[in-house]
Amino acid sequence: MVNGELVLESLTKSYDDQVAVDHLDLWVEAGEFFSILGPSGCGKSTTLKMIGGFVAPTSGRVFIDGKDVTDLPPNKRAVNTVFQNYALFPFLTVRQNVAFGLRRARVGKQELNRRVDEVLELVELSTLGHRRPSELSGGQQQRAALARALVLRPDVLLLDEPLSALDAKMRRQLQVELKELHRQVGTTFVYITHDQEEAMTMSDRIAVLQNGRLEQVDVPSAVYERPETPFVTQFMGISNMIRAGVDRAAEGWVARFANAEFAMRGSPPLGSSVDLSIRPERVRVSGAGSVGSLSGAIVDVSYLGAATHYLIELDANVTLQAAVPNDGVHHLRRMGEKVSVHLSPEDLRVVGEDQVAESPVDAFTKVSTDYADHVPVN
Amino acid sequence: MTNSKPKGVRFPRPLALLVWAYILWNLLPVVSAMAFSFNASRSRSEWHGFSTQWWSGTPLSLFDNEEYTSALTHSLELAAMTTVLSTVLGTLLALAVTRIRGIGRRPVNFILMIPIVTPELILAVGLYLSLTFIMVWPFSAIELGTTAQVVGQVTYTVGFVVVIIRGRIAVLGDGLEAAARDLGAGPIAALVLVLFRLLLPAVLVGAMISFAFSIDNFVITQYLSADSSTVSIPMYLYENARGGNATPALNALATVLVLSTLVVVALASLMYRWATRRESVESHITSTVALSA
Repeated sequence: MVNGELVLESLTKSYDDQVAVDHLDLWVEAGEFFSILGPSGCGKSTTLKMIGGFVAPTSGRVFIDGKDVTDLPPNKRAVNTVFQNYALFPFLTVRQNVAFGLRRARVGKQELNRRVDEVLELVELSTLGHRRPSELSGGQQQRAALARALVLRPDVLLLDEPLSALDAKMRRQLQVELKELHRQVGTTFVYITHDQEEAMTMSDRIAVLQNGRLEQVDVPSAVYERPETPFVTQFMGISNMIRAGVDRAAEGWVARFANAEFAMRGSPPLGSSVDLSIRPERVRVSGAGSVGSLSGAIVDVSYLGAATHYLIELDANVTLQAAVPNDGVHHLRRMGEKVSVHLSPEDLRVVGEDQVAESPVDAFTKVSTDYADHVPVN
Repeated sequence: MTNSKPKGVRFPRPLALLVWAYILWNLLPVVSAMAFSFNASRSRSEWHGFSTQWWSGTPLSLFDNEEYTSALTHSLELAAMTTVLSTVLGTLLALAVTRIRGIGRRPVNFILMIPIVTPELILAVGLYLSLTFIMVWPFSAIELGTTAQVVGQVTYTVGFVVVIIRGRIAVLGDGLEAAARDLGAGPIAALVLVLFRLLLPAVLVGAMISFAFSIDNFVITQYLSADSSTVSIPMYLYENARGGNATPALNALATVLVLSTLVVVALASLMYRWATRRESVESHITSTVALSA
C-alpha cells in the first residue's frame, strides 16, 4: 500500500484580524499529484506551510496517513518541501545538500552514498554533484532541490511554486519532467501554483482557492469545463461572462441576451436573470450574414501563434472574445470586419450554483467530487 | 569593475587630485611616525640613519623595556578578550532580537542602539561611577582594572556587532533555516549547521570592528584602569608622547598598534571572502519565502 494520504480538517489560520486560510477541508489521496491553485494572497502558501509544519494553524487538524501531525515540528514530519527559489545551502555542494537530510537521520555511510547516487541519477545531476548551487543553472538548482527532498522518501512532497523563477521554455520542460518523476516515485505531490495552465498540465486533481476559501476541487477537465463558481470561471483561463434574462419554457428554459434566445436544458434558474459563461474557443465566428447567428464587428485582433483572439462587439452592445485556431481552415480576419457569431446553448454555462435550484450539471459535479468514487489517473 | 566605467567619461582631474591629496594626508603622518622608529638617534623629527635599536637590543628598546612590553601585552589581551566576548554576546543578542515578536521589538532595538550613540566619555564616566560606588552585584563584583576595562569595551562594541549581524539575518531571511528544519534538523542543529555558518561573514566583520575599537581605545580603557599593569598602548602613548622620555621606541609602539590592526583587518577580509565565496545564490536566499513563525 502506498503511503501519503493527506487530510486537512477545517484548517484555519488567521493573523490578527486577517483570515489567511478559512476552514479548509481537503482530502489528498496517497500517490496523487494534487495542485492547490489560486491567485497570490489566496492562502495557498500558508496552507503549504501548515502542512510542512512551519506555521501553526489557528484551528483545524492536519492528518498524514490517519496520524494527526498538527502539533509536530517540521523535522518530525514525513513531509519534505521543494521551496520557492529552492533554498539550497550555498556553502554546500549539490551532493552535500542532498546528503543533509540523510545525515540528520543518521543514515550509515554506505546507504547514504547509495541513496544520494540513486536520487542524483533520478534527477539527472549525477555529474554535477561536486558543484555548488551558485554554479548551477536555474533548472539544475530546481532539480537539486527536488533531489534533496526526495532522497528522504517523504510520504508527502510539498512543492511551493518551484517553477515560477524559470523562463517559459524551461518551465514547460520541467513540467513534463516533474510529471514523469511523480510517476516514477509514486509519492503524493502537493503542488502550489498560481498558474492555471501549469496546474491543469500536471495534476490529477486541482483545488482552487480564493481568499482562504476552497472554491472547487476536481479533475482538471472538470474544473475547466464545469467551473462551479464565478471566481473559478474567471480564473481558469479566459471566459466570456454574459448577463441573460430568464424565460420559462415547457421543457427547460430560455436564456435571452443580445436580442437572441437560447433554448437551455435543465431546471431554470431561480431569478429573472442569470450569469452565463462561455469559453472563447466555443465562440464560433463566420462571415457576415449567416442565418441564425448574432452579428457584430471585430474591434480587436490578437495573433497568438496557435490561435487568434478576436474581440467582437455584437450589435446588441455585448462584447465577446473568440479564439479561432490558426489551422489553415480558418482565415485571419481584419479589424472592423463584420462577422456572424454562433453560440451553442450547450456551451453556455450558468455561473454560480446558488442561482440554480437543481440542475443535472450540478448533480454531476457532486458525483465527481465524491472522494470515495474517485480513482486517480495513475 | 574597471571595465564598467563608460568610455569617454573621464575622471575629472581636480577630483583625482583631491583623492590623492587625501590619501597622502592620511598616510604621511602614519608612515613617517613608523619610519622614525628605525631612526639611529633619539630624535623623532630628524633622520640620522637606519637602526633597529629602538625595537630591540637596548634597555630602552620596545621589546626589552618592561613598561613597553607590559602595555603591549595588556593591549593585546584586552583586544582578544573584548573581541571574543563582544562577538559571542553580540551574535546571541542579534539572534534574540530578531526573534522577538510583538510590542517588545521596537524598544529593545532602540535600547541596543544607545551605547552606539552615547558619547564614549559619558559611557566611560558612567561605568566608572557605577563600578566604584554601587555596592550591589554585579557592580560590586567588577573591580577596576582588566575586568572593568573589558566590560567597558564590550559594552561599547557589542552594539555594533548586533547591528551588523542583525542586518545579515534580515538579508538571509528564514528560508534556509526552514529548509534545514524541513530536512530533519532540530531547532539547535538548524541554528548551528545553517544559520551560524551563514552568519560567519557578519560575525567576522563584527569581530574585526571589536578588535580595531579595542586596540586603539583610550577613553574607556583609561577611566576603568587600575595600576600600571593595566596601562594599554594608547594610554602609554598619551602619557608619554610629549614628555622627556619620548624616544623612537614610542614610534615603535605606535607601529605595533597600526600593524596589528592592519593584520587583523586583512585576516578578517580574507576569511570573509572565503566564507562568502560562490555566494551568488544570495539573491535567492534573500527572496526565499520569509516564513512567519
